[in-house]
Amino acid sequence: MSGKFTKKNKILLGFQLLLAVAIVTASLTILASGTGEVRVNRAQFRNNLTYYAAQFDYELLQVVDHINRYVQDDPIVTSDSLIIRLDIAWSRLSHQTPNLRTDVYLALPGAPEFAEEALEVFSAIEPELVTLNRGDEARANAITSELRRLVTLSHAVAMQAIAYDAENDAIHLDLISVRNRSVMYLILAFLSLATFSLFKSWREVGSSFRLSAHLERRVEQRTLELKATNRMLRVEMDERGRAQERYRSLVDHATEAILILDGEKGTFVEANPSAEKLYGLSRIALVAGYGIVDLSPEFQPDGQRSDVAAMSYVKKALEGEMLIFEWTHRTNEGVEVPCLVTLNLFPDHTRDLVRASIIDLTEKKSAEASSAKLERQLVQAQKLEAVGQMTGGVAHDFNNLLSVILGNMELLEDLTEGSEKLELIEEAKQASFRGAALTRSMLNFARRADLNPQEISLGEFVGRMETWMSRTIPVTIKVETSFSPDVWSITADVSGVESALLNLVINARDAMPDGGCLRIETENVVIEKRSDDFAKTGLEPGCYVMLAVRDTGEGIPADLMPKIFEPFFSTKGLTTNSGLGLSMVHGFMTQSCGDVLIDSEFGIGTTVKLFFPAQVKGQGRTMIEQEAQSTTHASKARILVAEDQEDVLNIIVRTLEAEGHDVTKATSGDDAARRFFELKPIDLLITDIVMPGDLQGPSLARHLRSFDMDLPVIFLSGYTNDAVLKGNGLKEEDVHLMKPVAREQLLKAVNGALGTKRELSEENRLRRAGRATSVTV
Amino acid sequence: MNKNMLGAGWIALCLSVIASFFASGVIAQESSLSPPESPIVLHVSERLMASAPERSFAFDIAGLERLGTIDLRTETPWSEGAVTFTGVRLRDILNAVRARGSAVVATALNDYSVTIPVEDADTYDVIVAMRKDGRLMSVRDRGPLWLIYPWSDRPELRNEVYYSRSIWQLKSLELLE
Repeated sequence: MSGKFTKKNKILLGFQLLLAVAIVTASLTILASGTGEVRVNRAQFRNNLTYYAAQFDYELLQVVDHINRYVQDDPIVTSDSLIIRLDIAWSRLSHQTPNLRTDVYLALPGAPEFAEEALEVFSAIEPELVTLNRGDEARANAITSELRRLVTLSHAVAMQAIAYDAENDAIHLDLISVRNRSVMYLILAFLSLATFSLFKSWREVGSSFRLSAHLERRVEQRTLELKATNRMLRVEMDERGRAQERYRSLVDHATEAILILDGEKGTFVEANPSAEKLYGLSRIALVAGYGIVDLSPEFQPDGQRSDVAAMSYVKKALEGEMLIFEWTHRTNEGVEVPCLVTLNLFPDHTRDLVRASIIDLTEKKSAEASSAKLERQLVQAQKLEAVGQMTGGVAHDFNNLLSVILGNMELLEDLTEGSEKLELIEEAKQASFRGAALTRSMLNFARRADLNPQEISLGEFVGRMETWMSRTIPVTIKVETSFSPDVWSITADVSGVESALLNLVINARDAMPDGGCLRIETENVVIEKRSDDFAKTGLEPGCYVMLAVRDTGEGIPADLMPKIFEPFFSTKGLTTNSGLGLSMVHGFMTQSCGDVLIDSEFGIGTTVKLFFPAQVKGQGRTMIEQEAQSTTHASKARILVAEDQEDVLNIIVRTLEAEGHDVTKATSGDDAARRFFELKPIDLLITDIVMPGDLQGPSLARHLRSFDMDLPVIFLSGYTNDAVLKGNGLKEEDVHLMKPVAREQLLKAVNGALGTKRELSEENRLRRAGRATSVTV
Repeated sequence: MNKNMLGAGWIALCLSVIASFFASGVIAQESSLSPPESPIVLHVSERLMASAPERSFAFDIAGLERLGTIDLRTETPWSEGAVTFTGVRLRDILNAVRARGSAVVATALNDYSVTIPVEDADTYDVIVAMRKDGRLMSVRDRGPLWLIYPWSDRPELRNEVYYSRSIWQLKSLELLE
């Protein structure tokens, strides 16, 4: 295609050259004609040769005419004028100074001869004319005939002049026409050249357009190809990048430590984050020159030297073996860590590298240990369960048997007289009672899973137990009880607590065969952190109520202490004791989320402490929090106090008013209700439980709550009957205080209740709004 | 007509004319024009409107020369090389006769005539020459008067128009309005 292209171009170029040549030729011709014309012009006779020649004729004739007229006596013509006439004619031929004009004239054919002739004639007739007289016709004729001859000659020359002029004109015209033609050709040539040039340019432009269009298309095509390739490359790159990322992640996120070792030196070349964690060193540090041997103890547990063993393993790996073995490392902090190491060859062209995967086995080992322990525990538990089941059944049957025995004994008692016999019966009965107690505890032991936690105030509890205890405890033992009045209540299974306390008391009694002192205490305990005192226990930090049973008995020897909670373990001999007591207590306490602690000194005494978790008032906050909250002073509130005992009422009112609260008194439930409606809104209700009138404490609370759902209530009671409180539409969060109420306790309760109200209102509002809110736990 | 005689005659005439000029003490235009003593070479006439009388003046060589001559050296188509013509400026002649007109009809002895616009006289130092290279000109010599343009000095005059106006054997100037 390009070949054809050039050929066409060549043709066009040829044409252009031809035209150029034509133009040049025409121009030269014009120039030539122009210069020719100039020459011709110059050659032209300036004064009109024809006229000049013709004028000569005329002059001659004039002379002739004048001569004739002079001779005929015309007065106008004088001798002078005649001479003048001759002179005029003569002047025409005067070439005293040769000049261009006369030269041209003289160049005419016949002219020089004529001029010579004329001059001769003039010279001849001059004297004649001067001496001519008027009337001398003869002489005049002679003269004129000569002149006439001249005239003819002159005319001939004149004709020549005309011809000459005509010729000049012809030449001139020719030149002009030539020039015109040339100009015409020139113009044509120019036009053609222009046309061709335009055409050529157009073609060139066209072809260049085509070319550029073609190129553009090619470029576009290429660009598209490139773009496609680009996209592909990018996709691939992304893929590669992602793959790399994934592999990177694999290594970085591997839980095992992955390292690359230099096979020769045993130093680390690469380390992943898990390796950093394992050794306690940063990657940069590890790679800086640490080796396996640096991070291992001098000797391995199997006795080998670490350096020797390590090198042999590495060597084997370099030979292509894959090794898995246990190895003890030593971290940067000096902690020995048992590990499982996998070594294999890491391919690299430049040096010998070994890849190591290291898994920390400490947990596994401890897990193994604990699982072994668990197994043992499981076996133990199974044993216990078996025992439990067995005892359950046995106890049940045994209980029945005892009932029979006891029943018969009692019948017998009624029928018997005589103190000795009655004593025997009594002992039998006592034995039965003890048996019953035993079976009961056995049954409790068996029934351990079925706890029914209830809210208990330990103080009351112990109070109740006192009466019972007085029967079982001999007089030789002095019983003391000590409770803090504001001891927190607990939630526990009543019978469980009963039997636990019973067990402890019995143990204490048995520990003092010769008498002593038995002391029962209750106390609030707050476990802040894992303090050392309670590290032995499994107790989480929090609020607890401690029930302690102290005796001044023989105490428990230290070597027996670990076994004290084991079932069937007893120091008292199997006949008198099942050995299940303390283990049962322990089990119960653990189940109740508490614990048992025993302090004992051989020969001094024993204290058994039971830790019950303190009752949290329904909102899931620990007592600490509640305590904390109650210390923050609640803002002034409007409090309604309902209490029939005036002195109690006054104390409460005074206490509250001292805190800045706005207190309204009411002496009965009905009174309180009336006041409520008069005074609304009320922020808090403090009410006695038992009051005169229709509305008792609980019902008052319910009544008022029908108008204000979020009203907090504090109940005061002198009675401990839970049944009165429970299930009367009262809320969990209601505080229940024991009379007499200590000032601090009251205030704490008030603050707590007021704080609660705020929270509760918000919660209830949300609940009522239909949103599911989780009660904060 | 001997040139030498003529020459002597001219000199005598000139001297006498100059003497009479000094004697009269008048160097005016019209009035100073003393009647020609030697043969009249030039008639200058003015033909204004038909109603007005014709004014005419006659000059002899001396009379013309009295008007003030200048030398004009120029090349001519009728000569080879440059020639020095001595003559009176045409405009001086026209001023002397107080001529008012737009054109001058110059007529020669052989009745050849040519119309010269007055602008030529004003613009150029066109002279009515009476001497060629210092010598008076005979009729045969194209004299006695030849209207000469300053061709050498003025190249724009070197064309047929002005060549045709360069009338020799000048005999009269007639002013047209």
